[in-house]
Amino acid sequence: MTFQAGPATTKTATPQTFEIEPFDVMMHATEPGLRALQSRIAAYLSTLGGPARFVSYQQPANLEDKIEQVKAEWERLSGAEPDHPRVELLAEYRRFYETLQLEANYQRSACYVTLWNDDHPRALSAAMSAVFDTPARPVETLPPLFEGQYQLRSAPFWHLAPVGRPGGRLLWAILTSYEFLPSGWSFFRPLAPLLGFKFPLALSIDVQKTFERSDGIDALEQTILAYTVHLSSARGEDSRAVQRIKDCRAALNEINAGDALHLVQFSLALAAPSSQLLRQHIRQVVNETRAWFKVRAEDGLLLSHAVQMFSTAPSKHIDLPATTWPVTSRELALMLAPVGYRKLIGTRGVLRGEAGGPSGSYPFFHDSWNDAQGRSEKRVNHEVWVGVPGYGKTFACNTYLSREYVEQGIPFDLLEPMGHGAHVARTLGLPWFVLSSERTKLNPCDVMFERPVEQKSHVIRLYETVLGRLLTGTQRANLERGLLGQALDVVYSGYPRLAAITPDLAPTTETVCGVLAGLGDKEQNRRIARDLADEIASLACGTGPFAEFLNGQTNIDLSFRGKALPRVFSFHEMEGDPILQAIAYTQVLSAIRRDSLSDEQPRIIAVDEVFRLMRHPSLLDFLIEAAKTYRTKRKKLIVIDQQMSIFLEGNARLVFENCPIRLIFNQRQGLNVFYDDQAFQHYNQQHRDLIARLGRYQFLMDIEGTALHLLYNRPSSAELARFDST
Amino acid sequence: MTVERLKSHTLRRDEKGLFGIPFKRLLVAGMSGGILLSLTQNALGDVGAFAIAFAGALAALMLTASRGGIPLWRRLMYGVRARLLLAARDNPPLMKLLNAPSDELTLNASRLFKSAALPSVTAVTDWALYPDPTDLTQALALVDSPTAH
Repeated sequence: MTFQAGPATTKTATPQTFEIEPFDVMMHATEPGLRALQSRIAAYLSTLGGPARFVSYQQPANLEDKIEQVKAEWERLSGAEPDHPRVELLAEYRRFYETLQLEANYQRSACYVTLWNDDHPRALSAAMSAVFDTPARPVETLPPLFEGQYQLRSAPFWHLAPVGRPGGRLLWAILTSYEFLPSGWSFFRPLAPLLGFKFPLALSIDVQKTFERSDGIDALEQTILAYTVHLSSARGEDSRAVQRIKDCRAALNEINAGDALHLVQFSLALAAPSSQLLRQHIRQVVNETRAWFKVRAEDGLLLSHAVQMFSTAPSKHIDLPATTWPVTSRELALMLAPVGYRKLIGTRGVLRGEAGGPSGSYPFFHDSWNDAQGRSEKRVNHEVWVGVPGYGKTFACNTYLSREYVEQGIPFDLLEPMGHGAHVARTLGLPWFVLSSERTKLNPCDVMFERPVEQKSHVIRLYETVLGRLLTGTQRANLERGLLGQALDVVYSGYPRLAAITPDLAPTTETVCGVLAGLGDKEQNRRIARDLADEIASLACGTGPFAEFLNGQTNIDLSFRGKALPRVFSFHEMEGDPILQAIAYTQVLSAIRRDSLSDEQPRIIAVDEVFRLMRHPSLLDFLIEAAKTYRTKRKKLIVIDQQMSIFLEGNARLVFENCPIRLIFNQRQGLNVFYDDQAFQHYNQQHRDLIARLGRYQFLMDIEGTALHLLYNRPSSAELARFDST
Repeated sequence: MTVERLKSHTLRRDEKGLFGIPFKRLLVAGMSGGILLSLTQNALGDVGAFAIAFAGALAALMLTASRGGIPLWRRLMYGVRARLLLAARDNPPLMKLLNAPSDELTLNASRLFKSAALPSVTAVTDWALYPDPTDLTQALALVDSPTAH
């Protein structure tokens, strides 16, 4: 049985609406960057098969939700635990957000496109995502301009007023474009200033018709012919006719270069709580746009019809006189500028920085633990942070961890090599674990995995790191690996089960070496076992260089099971020995990994200078595996280092691939990876220039498949006072 | 910075006319005046008819002027109709006489902004099935279930 090649009947095009996530036009703000963006959008618009409508909504916004959330947490905590260090810090954060709100006027922006097209919505949204380089998703319909019932009012001027009790509902007026003036349009003028007004505003750009290429050319040629005939018979000067012919020829050139000819009409919906204020808003908009296009305030029934320009009703069904203007695709591309102005997106999550732009700065909040609808995420996204020293990585890490803990109660483990963890520990009243090669003992045989196979591999990895070579690849190395595995089998077999082996009961390196020295069924194997035991013992037992640190029971409590308290681990007292430092990092991370399996409580694990661990091949494998485990258990891993290139080489790439969020601080050295590597092919020249030029506290936050933000880590004055010295 | 100078209306043929008034508007005004003159000349005499014709021509000239991109007369029509409907709001017989849809004066957001989208997939009954691709006479068609309605 086969299907016919196509449907037996066809249907007329239905409206399909898509929400487009606004992007930051400043990320393209070089001449070539903007030109490329314009060309890309124009190429897409030239292929429009039917009518289209672009609608952008601007709504004044504030940080009230955030302030309320912080306030509620403060009230809850101050009632339950008045002496908790978070109480005072919550009050500080509340003051910080209130200061931000007082200083600025924020808006919230949402952009939609309605296409009358029968193609599959997924294909249409994918095309839009590729063009705007920002997510586009199908939605059921455009959001309503207002709610409830509205009626026409003629006094004091024509407007729409809510029926019944207003209940906070606003008055609305609609302005419609009827003439476009010969002015220069760009992504920054004239629409960007409109988006900065401090009142609710919606802009609809209705593309009523896109001419077929040949029809467009015919129409323009007819205009040229008519004016040429007119000029040939005209006796006086007619500059308007001369200019019209020039414009038609320019439009023809553009169409021949790939553009299409569109008929567009703008509608602006303005709102205010009173008619007096509404009139004032109308005047403001008319004054702002008069140099670029003229608008008429709709009155009478035209007003009630014009509202439909903000719905999915097709233009031909709206009884509104068409005062469209013909524009080419490259001109229309600039009219879609509102999608390039990202405003206050939301206040859920914690403040990651401030995004700057021509229409002001906006705080950017990111919620790592819940999805866009506020539902708890099953998996969290790890982050990789890179940047040359002195540009604010450590400071950003401290402020981020502090905000997550204070505002949301998310605990963390900070592993850092410089000793600046003291500031975080002191500020938040946390235990500060300083790992020292002289005072601390970390037993490599501590049980970190529940299954014997994994536990043995883990211990072997640690001994490989001590030995400075891999126990694999050659016949002798394989034999050594096997013998060491046997020795571990023997030492662990004395316990009923692995989970019962607490650090004070775990076998020591000395025991392992003792057992290992006696293994081997043949003389050759016995010799290899003895040699390996001697080699390990010479390094990690007796007076060996690592004996103080590795031989004996662990004397630091690495377990956090059931504890919601953050911890700070500093490794600055181990700076002299990279091997010990790598092992210490691994054991701490192993303990975190082990305890992560027991719950799915959110936690952040920040590892500064992670290359110290990654340069040991066996420990790199551990990090890759741990990253996967952490993710599924809602533990967010943040790996921090100086160069992006170290995350892209060899197996380290697997760590990078597991980190969909990338924070890039200044990278003027090692910029080549942003040109060459496939992972950064979505960057344009402006992005790369920015990465090379980023100032202190500035960074690029690349959330894979979602958005690219240029942010400034704006600290509160209290954070600056506490962490400035870091 | 990427700047495009917007072009003039490349599909419209503006006429120069006289005193800035396009010729077609002058023609309409002249025609209106002429018709009024011929209609009223016998009844009102030359002086009265000329006065009315002049007023009519002037009115035609004014009503065809563009206000906000649309002729004034058209705009007035929408305005007058809206005012009539507002006046008739509490007068159902007048409302019926004006034959006005109820949503012209009162806008219901839930109706106005509802999704107009229809399912974009074709119905299964739109497809014909062929047990044997080479034999077009054996076409089967999926039909709605008898219990579907």
